[in-house]
Amino acid sequence: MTALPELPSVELDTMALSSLARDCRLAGVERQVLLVRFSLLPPEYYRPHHGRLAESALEPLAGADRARVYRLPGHDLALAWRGDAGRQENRVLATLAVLFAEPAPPLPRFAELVRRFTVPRDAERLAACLAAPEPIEPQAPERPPLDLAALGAIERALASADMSRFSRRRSICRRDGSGQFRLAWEKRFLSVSEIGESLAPEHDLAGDPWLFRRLTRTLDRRLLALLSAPRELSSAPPFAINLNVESILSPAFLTFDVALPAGLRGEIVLELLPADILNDAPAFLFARDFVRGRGYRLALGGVAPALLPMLPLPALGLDFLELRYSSELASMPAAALDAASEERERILLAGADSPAALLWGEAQGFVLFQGRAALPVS
Amino acid sequence: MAGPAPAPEPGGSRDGSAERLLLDATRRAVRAPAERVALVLHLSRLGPPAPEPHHRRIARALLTEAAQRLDGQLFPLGNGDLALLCRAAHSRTPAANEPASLRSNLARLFGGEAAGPEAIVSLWPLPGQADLLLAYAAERLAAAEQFGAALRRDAIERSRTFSVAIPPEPAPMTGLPDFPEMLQRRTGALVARSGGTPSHALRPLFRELAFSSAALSAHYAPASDTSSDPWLLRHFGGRLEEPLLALIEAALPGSGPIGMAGTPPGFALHLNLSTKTIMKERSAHVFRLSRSIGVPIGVEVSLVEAAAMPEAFAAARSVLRRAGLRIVLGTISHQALLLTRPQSLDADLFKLDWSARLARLTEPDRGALASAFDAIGRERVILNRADNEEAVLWGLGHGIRRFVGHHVEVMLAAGRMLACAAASGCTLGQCSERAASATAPGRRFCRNLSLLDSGAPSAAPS
Repeated sequence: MTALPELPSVELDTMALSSLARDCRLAGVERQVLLVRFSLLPPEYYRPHHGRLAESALEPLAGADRARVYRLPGHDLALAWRGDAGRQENRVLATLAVLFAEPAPPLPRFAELVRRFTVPRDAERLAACLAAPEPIEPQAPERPPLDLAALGAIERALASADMSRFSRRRSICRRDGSGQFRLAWEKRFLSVSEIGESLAPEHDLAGDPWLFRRLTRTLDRRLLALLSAPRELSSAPPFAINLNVESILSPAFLTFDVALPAGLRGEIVLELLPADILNDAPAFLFARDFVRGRGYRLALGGVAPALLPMLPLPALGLDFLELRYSSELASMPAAALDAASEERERILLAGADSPAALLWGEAQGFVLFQGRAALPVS
Repeated sequence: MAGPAPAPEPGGSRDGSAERLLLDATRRAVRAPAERVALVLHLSRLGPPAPEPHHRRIARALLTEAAQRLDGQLFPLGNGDLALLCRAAHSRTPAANEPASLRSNLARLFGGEAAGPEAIVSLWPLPGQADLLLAYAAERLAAAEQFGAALRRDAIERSRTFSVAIPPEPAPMTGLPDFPEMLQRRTGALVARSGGTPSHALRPLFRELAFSSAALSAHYAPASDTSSDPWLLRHFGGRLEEPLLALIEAALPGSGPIGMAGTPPGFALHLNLSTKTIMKERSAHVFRLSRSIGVPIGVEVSLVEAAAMPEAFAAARSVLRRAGLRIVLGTISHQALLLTRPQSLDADLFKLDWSARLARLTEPDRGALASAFDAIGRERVILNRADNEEAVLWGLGHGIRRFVGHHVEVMLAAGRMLACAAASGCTLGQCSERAASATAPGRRFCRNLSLLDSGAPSAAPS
């Protein structure tokens, strides 16, 4: 069983609201949702008492059938209920109008601050509003790109480093018929950022893309060695690893293949990157056929939306396509997805960290997800 | 693979010992009561550049596993072939014909690299077809004894990137005197039928300045085989792009190996640049300069880079489009063309690398390739590495008219020599080599440099 991280109530409420839309779709019922978006207010305008006032303003609707309040990121509030509550709703809207009628600074329009939805019909619109604002990363000091000397030092250090401290897992979940997320497989990888912080803190590991590619092959060997250790996989669930084509053809992979418990044969997903496939297409074809004969499944990862029309999954002979959720992806026409794969169950949506991502993926017909909004049930 | 770890890196018998053992084992198998079978994986028949170390490694791992399962013995022969003598069927699953299944698996896996699946694996039941195995083993033994010394000399495995040591970072290039030695000049030409006659007219379309991988490797890491690490080579190449642009900026308007003075209108300069360099101010200078003197520029970006950094490629493409430059998508293997749709990257020209395997594609692959050409448009395809007549003829047979490669250089040299009053004493090879050189020493013996650099159309023998 994968340990679930403890989620703050805001995150739980966000996921619950997202689930509401999904559950309504599955159950064929409707809910009304009123969303108050304090997150759109200029930061200097929002004061804690606004939140309290807004909650008070929502009270008339608290008595509606199946009413529930959701506390959302950015101090946003939502209230969902079942059925017609027109009179109470009007009272709420009138109070909110007064609340947001304060003078300067200029505010967004009332219609943007207070939104009304009927789910599941408006599920995608709601999800777009719920999309977590992109976290603002603290500006990291600019570091010089990886150079050959640093690369050599990292590779030497990696040769004797205990890689288990860099080992990480992520859950890939499959949504079942009841709308629950079940663990499909784990993704096992080495944390590049932590390796960088530990072994070359003064360099930006990905600053030189080609030296970084070279580094990933070294990391592949270390990951394979880690997984080949006795008992490492004795009770492991199915998992996926990202490898270079050349790593699949290396002695380290053959050793890993020998160490693989019989129960996991046929359950392992090997993920490849487009550039690596194209760098040596004959080697890719050979590696693909070799590992397929050994029972591995193959995924194409790291596919930017712009590359979707270029990479047809059937022609590549791969089983899964991993896409990372982004606004760019969400705005891609369905035809672009079709160009890559018409079989939506073969597409894995990574970065499904927000209800918006999840709802978008579900609307596309995806069933495989990775992200905070798609955690497995125990 | 079940059982013990695979054998160490393969290196077949170089002194005939494995061939002798195979002969002895075959004779014993013929006399034995149990039915045996011989399976030979003919790695020596894989088309170049195969067999590569990974072919041998994986073949040996698969056959070692089969040998354990089928009570067999594996013989790595001197020519790279692997012979397996084993039981005819698995005793626990008598219905399953494992050797036959193994043969079809191996043929599927290695067949794409060979002349055909049937050529890559032999399966000889014993004693029924023992004569075939005996003849094969005897032939291999004779070859091993005769050529043993030569085989031993060739035994050094080509190392691949896993054993490529990281060379030290070279000092930033500040001067340019020896820098052009790493540059190669190549000419892209349009081959067109001339007036209904069987001969072809050659029209040079562009001059390409590109770094030689071998020269890069030799310059930056003479003690290390970086030529087998494409990522290190890209890193080195990237370091030279700005100095190259500086060189071009200085030399473009003039004559000489880099200059474009005197070239016919429309004759273009093609450069291989990374997306990062395309976005730099130095590139903008060169693009403006080329426009001001009327020299069209084409910028080649590799398919690998476009796939590795699609956002950067899209940004670079926008810059090039705004500057009115031609975008060439390069380093496209025919396998990549069959696997992907590079036309979706919205380039102007697509540079397909010639491979001898193009001439022996399977029927489905031929059809798929024709569809890919239709989708791209044959007039936008450049056949790169057209180093021999076979490549050019294959291209012409598939509707391709644009070529880059040694054979084209020789054809152009032939045309120049016909028109050159100073060509007496020159050979075709000398003329084409001088045209490819970007250094003064490399062009020293040419007495008609203006013609060498002219990029003029010529009629060449077909």
